[in-house]
Amino acid sequence: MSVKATIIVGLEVHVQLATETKLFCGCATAFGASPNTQTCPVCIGAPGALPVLNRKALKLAIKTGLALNCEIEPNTHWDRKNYFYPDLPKGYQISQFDRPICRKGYLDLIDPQSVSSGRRVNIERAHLEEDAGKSSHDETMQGGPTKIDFNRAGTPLLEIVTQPDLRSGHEAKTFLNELKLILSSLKVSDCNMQEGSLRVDANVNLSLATQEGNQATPIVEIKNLNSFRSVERAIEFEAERQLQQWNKDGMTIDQAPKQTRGWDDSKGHTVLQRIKEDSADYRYFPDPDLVVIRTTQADIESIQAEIKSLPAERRQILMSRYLLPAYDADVLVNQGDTFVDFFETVADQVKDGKLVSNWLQQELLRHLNATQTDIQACPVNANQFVDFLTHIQTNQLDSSRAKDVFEQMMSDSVSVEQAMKSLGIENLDSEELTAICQRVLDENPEIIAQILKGNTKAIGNLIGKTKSLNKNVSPSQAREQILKMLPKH
Amino acid sequence: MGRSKKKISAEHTSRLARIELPPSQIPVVQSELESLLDFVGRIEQLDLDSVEPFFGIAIDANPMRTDRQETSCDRTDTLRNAPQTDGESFLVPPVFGKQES
Repeated sequence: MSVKATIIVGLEVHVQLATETKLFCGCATAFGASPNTQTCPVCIGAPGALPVLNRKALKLAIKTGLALNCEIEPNTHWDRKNYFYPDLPKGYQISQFDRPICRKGYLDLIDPQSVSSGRRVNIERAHLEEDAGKSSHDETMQGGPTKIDFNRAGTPLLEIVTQPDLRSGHEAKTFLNELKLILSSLKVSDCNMQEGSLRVDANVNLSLATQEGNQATPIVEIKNLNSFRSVERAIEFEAERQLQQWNKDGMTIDQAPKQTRGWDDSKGHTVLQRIKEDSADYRYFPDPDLVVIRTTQADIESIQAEIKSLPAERRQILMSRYLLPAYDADVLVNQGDTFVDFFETVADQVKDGKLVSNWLQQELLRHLNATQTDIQACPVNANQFVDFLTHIQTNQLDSSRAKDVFEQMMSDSVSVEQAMKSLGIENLDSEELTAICQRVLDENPEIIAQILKGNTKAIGNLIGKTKSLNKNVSPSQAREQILKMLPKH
Repeated sequence: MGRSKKKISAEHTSRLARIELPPSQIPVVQSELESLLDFVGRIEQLDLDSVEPFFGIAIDANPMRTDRQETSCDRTDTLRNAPQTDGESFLVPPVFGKQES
C-alpha cells in the first residue's frame, strides 16, 4: 500500500540553567562532586524545610523566553507534579503546570542549504522546574541496590516545549543547533550534553494521507538522545518503524496509547520502555509552600535590555555590513559569538569580509578543529591576523606561501614577520628577481620559442623554474618580470 | 475554566498515592471522596466571570534569594536517617530486575 507519510515532530528540551546554586536552596549545582555532598534539608525533602526561589534562575528563564519571542506570564506560580521514584525525595517535583513563566513563542529555522530555511517553529511553553536526583543502577544486573545521589536534586531546569511543527530529523537538528546557539549566546546554560545540561526528548508520529482520508500513527516519545545527531537519526528511524508498524496492524493514534521508547545509538534503533501515563495522573496542584511570582513590564524591559545581538541578527549583519554570502554567515555564526567577534574585529580593519571569511573557514577553523582548540585560546590574536592578511593584500606575502606562514603563526604563536623569517621567506629585491628571471630565460630558449609561437601557457613552466632557483620568488612578480624581459616579436 | 466532571476512582487514586486500600474499603473511600469533591464543586455554581483571578495573598512580596552558595549539610547528616547507605549514596531496592512491591 502506498501512502504519503509526513513526519510530525515536537521537542521537549530540558536546559540546566547556569546558576551557582539550586532553584530553591543555596546548595551548589557544580557537576561532578562526591555523591550527596551538595544537599540540605530543602533539596532532600526533609519535613518542614521551605523552598525559596533563586532570583537568577527566574531571570535566566525570562531571558530565554524573550529570546524565543515568548509572552512572559505576569503571575506565574508553582505546582507539585506528584509521582513516586527513588530519586525524587519529596514524592513530587516542583514544576509549573497551568501558568508557565513563558508561553507562545517561536524560533525560525535557519539553514541556507535546505528548503526548511525560514520555517517557523512555534514554542508552546517554557517552564521552570527542579531536577531530580541521580539513580545509578547495579551495572552487573545482579539485582543489587540502586544508588541515589541527590546532588542534582533541585537544580534549576527550563523545559522548552515546541509545538509539533518539525517535519524531519534534519529539521529537529537544525532547530536544536539554533536553540543551543541562542542559549550559549545568552549565557543561560553551558549546554553541555555530556553533563546533562541539555536533554532532548522527541515526540514523533506520522500523518498518513490514505484513500480513507488522513490518519495519524500513535505518538512515541523518544528518550536517551545524547547528541543532536542521535536526535536526527532516532526520528528518521522511528518514522520508518511507525510506517512498517502501521502497514502491519493499522493502529492509529486513537487506538493505541502513547509509548516511551529509548534510543540505542550503537544499534541505531528505538526500544519500548513504557506506556505513558496521561498528565492527569501526576495530580498537579499549586504548591502551598511557594507564592505567586509577579513579573512587571519594567522587569521584562530591564532583562530585554541585557540581550545583545542574537544569532539570527548576527547573520544578517554579516551579510549586509560585511557582504558575506548566506552560507558564510551561517558557518561563522554557528561557531558562536566569540568567533563572530573575532571575524568582525579582523574584517573591520582588513576591509574585505570575504577574504577574512575564507581564511577563517578554511584555515583557522581547520587548525582549531585539528588541535581541539577554542577560538578563545587561538594562538594568533585578531591583530596578528589582520597583519597577516594585510601582508597578503599588499603583496608583501605571496599567496603561494601564505598557508605555510599561517600554519607557522598558529603552531608557534608568532607574528607574520616572525613566521616569514623562520620559514626563510624574504621579499627579493628587484635586482635579485631580474637576475633569476634572466638566468631562466637564458637556459630555456625552447620554452621561449613556444611562448612566442603563441603557447602562452608555457610561461608557467618558466615561473616554476624561477621558484625552484629561489623559493622566495613570488609567482605573480616573476610572471610580470618575465613578460617584461621576453624578446619582442 | 471548569473542573473536569470525570468521576474520581478511589482505587486508581490509592494506587497513584501508593496507599494500600483493602477491597472492602474501596466503596467507603469512593463515596467519601465523591462527597468531598461535590462540596468543593459547589463553587462552580457561582458566576465568577467578572471576578479577577486570585493568585494568593502574598502577591507583591516576591520573596526570592540571591544566587549565592550556602554551606550544604555534612553528608553524614544527610544520610543519617537512611535505612541503607554505602557511606556516600542512599541505597534503595533495585529499580530494575525486581517486581515493584
